[in-house]
Amino acid sequence: MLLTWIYQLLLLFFSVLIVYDIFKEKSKLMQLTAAVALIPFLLRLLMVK
Amino acid sequence: MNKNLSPKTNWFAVACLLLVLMLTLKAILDFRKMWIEEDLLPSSGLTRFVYLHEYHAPLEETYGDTKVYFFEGKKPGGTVLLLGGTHPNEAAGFVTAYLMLENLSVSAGRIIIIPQANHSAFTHNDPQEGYPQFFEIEGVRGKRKFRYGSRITNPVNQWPDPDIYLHYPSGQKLAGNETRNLNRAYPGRPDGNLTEQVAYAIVNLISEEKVDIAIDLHEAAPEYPVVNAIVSTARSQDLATEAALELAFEDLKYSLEPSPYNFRGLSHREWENFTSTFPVLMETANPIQGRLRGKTDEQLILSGQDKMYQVAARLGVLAVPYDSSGLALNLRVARHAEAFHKIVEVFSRNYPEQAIAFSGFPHYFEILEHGIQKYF
Repeated sequence: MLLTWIYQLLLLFFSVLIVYDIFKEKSKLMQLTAAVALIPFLLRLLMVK
Repeated sequence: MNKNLSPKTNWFAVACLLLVLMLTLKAILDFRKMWIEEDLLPSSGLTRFVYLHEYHAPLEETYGDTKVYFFEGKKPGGTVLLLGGTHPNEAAGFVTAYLMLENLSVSAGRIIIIPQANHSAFTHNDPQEGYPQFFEIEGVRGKRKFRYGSRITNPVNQWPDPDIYLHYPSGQKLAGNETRNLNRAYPGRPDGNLTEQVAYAIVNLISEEKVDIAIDLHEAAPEYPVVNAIVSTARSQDLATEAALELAFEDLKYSLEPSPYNFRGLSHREWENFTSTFPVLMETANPIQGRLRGKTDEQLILSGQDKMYQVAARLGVLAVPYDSSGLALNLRVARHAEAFHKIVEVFSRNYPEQAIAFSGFPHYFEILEHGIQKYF
């Protein structure tokens, strides 16, 4: 259980970084790429897949 | 705020985030559909059901817990355990168990059915294999929708996988994700991972219920050598041999495969080692599991028709006969059903004081004539 919490904290941390990156990137392609990369992080964070 | 964040960039970022949220929501709804259990409609012959945690209490309220159905005759006799859904991507295995569950009546002895042995593995599938999540059967009671799951426990329920799976108690080494394969987890252990605990509970059930014959239903790729087969151990080989011979007289060929001594964790191997039951495992050939398959969809589960396998058959690389008629779910379920009938018949003849008598569960030719649709 502790391992799961640590894992979810790491996922949350990286999800926040990706969201920050979506706003920070100047290239629209890079923004879109970061957005797509966020999906598996969210699915794992919510323990869906 | 960061000076790089112009209002224009922000709007695009917001749009990206909204898109992500919509796609994530869609994915969540799609994946969560597999957490909803299908309705199974046991026949009036059902005498009681319990949950597997009756045999190992820590499984209660976990996704490893699963229903165990008892069909008990008025006359005393032996006990058979039928396991479907050890691997929920092997449809004929669990569909045969569902079909029995919904049609069976026992007059002597007992038949115990666990239709979804690895319950957790029904809650997800392998989308990167292109597998569908569901398939439908147009039964006499209406359209029935069944989940098509994964070979292994859902990683949401059991994680992380080790780099190397060490089987308990042998220490045998396998690939890390095999730690979630129920048919590599026997005999299990009470304080092990979820899959090991499910295996442990099933072994306990076999011992506590004094199961005489335990049958595990599977499917495998047509190019795999152990298909259309009955796997037996030293203890069950006479029973399996007699059954296979009699099936051959009905023009149904089943190869007899010995349970390997050195491949540990398999149901038949460890049921032999840790219980006193007659262990049997049966395999049919299923093209959707093969590496040579083409288009992968619900129809392939049902019809087993695949052009790539026709080419493979012409090249002589398959372990079973294959032509344009395919290997339909009807045929695969019929083979499992007939072998079950024959094994119980042979056992009842050889151990008359332990005879098991039942009705309602159709024979091979009945299933081929009417289709499994008639029984759902």
